[in-house]
Amino acid sequence: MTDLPLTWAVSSHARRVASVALLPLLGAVLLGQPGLLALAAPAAAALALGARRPRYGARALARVSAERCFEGEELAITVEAELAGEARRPGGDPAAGGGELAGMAAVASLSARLVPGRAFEAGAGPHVHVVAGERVIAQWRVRALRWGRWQPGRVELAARSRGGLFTGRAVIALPAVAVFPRPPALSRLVLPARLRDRIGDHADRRPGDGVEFAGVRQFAPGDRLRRVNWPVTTRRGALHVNELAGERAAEVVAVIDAFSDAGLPGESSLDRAVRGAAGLARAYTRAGDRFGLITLGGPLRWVTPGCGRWQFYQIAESVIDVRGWHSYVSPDLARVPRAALPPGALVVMFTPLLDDRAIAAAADLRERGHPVIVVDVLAAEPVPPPRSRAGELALRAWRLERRALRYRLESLGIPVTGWPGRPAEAEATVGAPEASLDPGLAQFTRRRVGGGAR
Amino acid sequence: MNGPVAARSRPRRRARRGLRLPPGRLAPTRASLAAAALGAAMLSGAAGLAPATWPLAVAGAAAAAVAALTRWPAAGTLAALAAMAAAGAGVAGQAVSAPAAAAEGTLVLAYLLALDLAESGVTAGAARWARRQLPVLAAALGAALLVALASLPHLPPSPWLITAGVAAAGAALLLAAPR
Repeated sequence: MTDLPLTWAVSSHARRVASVALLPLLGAVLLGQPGLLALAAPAAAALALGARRPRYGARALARVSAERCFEGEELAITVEAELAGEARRPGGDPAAGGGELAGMAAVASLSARLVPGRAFEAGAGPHVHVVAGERVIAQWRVRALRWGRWQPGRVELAARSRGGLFTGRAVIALPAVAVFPRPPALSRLVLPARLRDRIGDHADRRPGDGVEFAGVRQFAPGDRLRRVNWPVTTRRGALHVNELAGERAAEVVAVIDAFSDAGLPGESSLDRAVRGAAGLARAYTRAGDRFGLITLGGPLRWVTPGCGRWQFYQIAESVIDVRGWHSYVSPDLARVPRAALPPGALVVMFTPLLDDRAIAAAADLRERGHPVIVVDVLAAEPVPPPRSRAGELALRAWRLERRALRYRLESLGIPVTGWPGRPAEAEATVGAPEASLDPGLAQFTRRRVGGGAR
Repeated sequence: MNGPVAARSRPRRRARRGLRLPPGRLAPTRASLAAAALGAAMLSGAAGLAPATWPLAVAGAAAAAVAALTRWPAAGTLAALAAMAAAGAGVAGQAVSAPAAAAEGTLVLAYLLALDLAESGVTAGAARWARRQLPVLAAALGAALLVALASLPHLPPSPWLITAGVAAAGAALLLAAPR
C-alpha cells in the first residue's frame, strides 16, 4: 500500500451547521434577545468540538486485473484503502493493521469512486466491502472501447473527519493498460504469386515435396521409386514419376498509413487501419505464414516478418502507440531493410487515401516489384454545409478526385478495395460488416496476386 | 476532411452524456428515513413552542421531505432554518423558555447529523456511528443549557455584547466560507 496525502476542506455539513448557528446568533444581536443564544448554542458547540482540521492521510492500493487486453474485453479494478496517521489510536500497530481508528465517523465515510478513462466504459460495480469498519475494498469492472495505451481511469477517495466537518480527498492514478485492437476475421487468405523458399502450407507452382499433385515427368536418377506412375510408364514404355507441388509459406507485409486520421473516435480511419492490420496478422500467423508490418507517419517503423502467435502480439504491441506519432517528413522506403520488406512479399496497405505521401509510398512499393493491394479505410465523406451549393460542388469535386486517384493507382497495377464499407464510388463491397475482412479482400483470393517489375 | 467528419462526433457525445442519471435518487434509505423522523420531531417541537408560526413549520416539513427523497443538500438546510426561525420567533415573543429553546436547538443539531449520515451514503456501521454522536449531542445540550441559564437574568444592552456577537458571527462566516 502507498501513502496518500488527503486534501482536507470544510464540508457542506459544516457550512450547514454554521448557517443554522448563525441565524439565531444574528437574531440575538439584532433583536437584543439573549434567549436566542440558547437556540444557537448546540450548533456552535458542535462546530467548536470538531473545528480541528484533521491531518491524517490514507493508505491505498489499486490493482488492475491485466496490463493488456483486447478491445471489448473487461478489466477488474480493485482498490483497498484505509485511513492512516493520527486517526489510529496510539496502542494500535498500523503496520500490522491491528490498530483501531479513533473516529468511527471518519471510518464509516471513507469511500471510493471510479471515474472511467475516455477509452473505457464503466461496467458492473462497484462492489464495496467495509472490513471491520477500518478498510474499504471496492471493485469495479470497465470495458475497453478503443485500442491504444490508456489509463483505465482514476479512483477518487473521499474521507470525512470525526463529526463530518471536514472532507478529505485523494486521487489514485491507475496504471496504463495496453489495449490491443480487436482483430477482424479473415477466412480466406490472399496469396502472392511467388512464394519464397520457406516451408509452409501453401502449394507453390514450383515442384517440391508437398502432397498436392503437380504433373508427370520422365524418371531421373535420384527419384524415389514410390513416385513412379505405373499407368503412364506402361502406356509410354519409359519410367515416369509424379511431380508434387512444393508447400511454402507466404510473406505478407501490412502497411498502415498513420499520416491522417478521419472519422468518429473509435471508428476513424486509423482505428480501422490498425484493426485491419491486426486481423491480417492473426490470420497469416495462424496459417504459418510470415507477416510483417510497416507504419508510415511519424518515424518510419517496421516489424520484420515472422510467424506464430508471438509475432502477432509483437505486431499488436507495436501499433498501439501509433496514434501519437506525427511527422512532416515523407517516408523513405529505401531505409526499410531487406529483411523487413522481403522481395516479392505481398503488401497490403491500409490507408484513407488522404495524404499524398502514403500514395507515393504505394506507388514506390509497386515499382519495387511488390504486389500491392490498397485497402481504403475511409468510411465517411465530408459533410457539406446544409443548403450550400458551393459545398455540394466541392463534394462532387472531391468524389471525382478520389475516383481519379483510384484510376491512377489501378493503372499502376495497384488494385484498390474498400473495408469495411465501400471506397468512394465503388460497387463490390457495399455494406460489408467490419467484423470480417473477407468482403474487402475476397476478390483477391480467387487468384494469386502478381507482382514483378513494371 | 478532418474538420467536418470530426465535428459530427460532438452531438453524439453530448447525447451519451445526457442519458446518464445518477443512481439512488428518490430511493429513501434507513438513514434518510431516520433523518426525516428527526426532522418531523424538530418541526413539530418548533410548532408546539410557537403555534403561530405553523406556516414555517409546514414549509420546513416540505423541505425535510424533499431532503429525505432527493438528497438535495439545500433542502435539509432550509428545513433546519425553518425550525430555527419558528422557535426563534417564539423565543423573541417571550412564549418559549430558554431551556426549551436549548432542547429545540439540540434537536435541530441531531437532525443535521442524521442528515449528514444519510447524504454520505454510508450504510454499514450506522448504529455505531449514532452511538459515537451521543457525546457530541450531550455536550451540545450541556452548552445550550449553560447559555440558557446565563441568559436568564436580564442584562442591560451593552456595546461589548453586540461586539462579541458580531465577532462570533464573523468567525462562523469565516468557518463556513469555502477554502
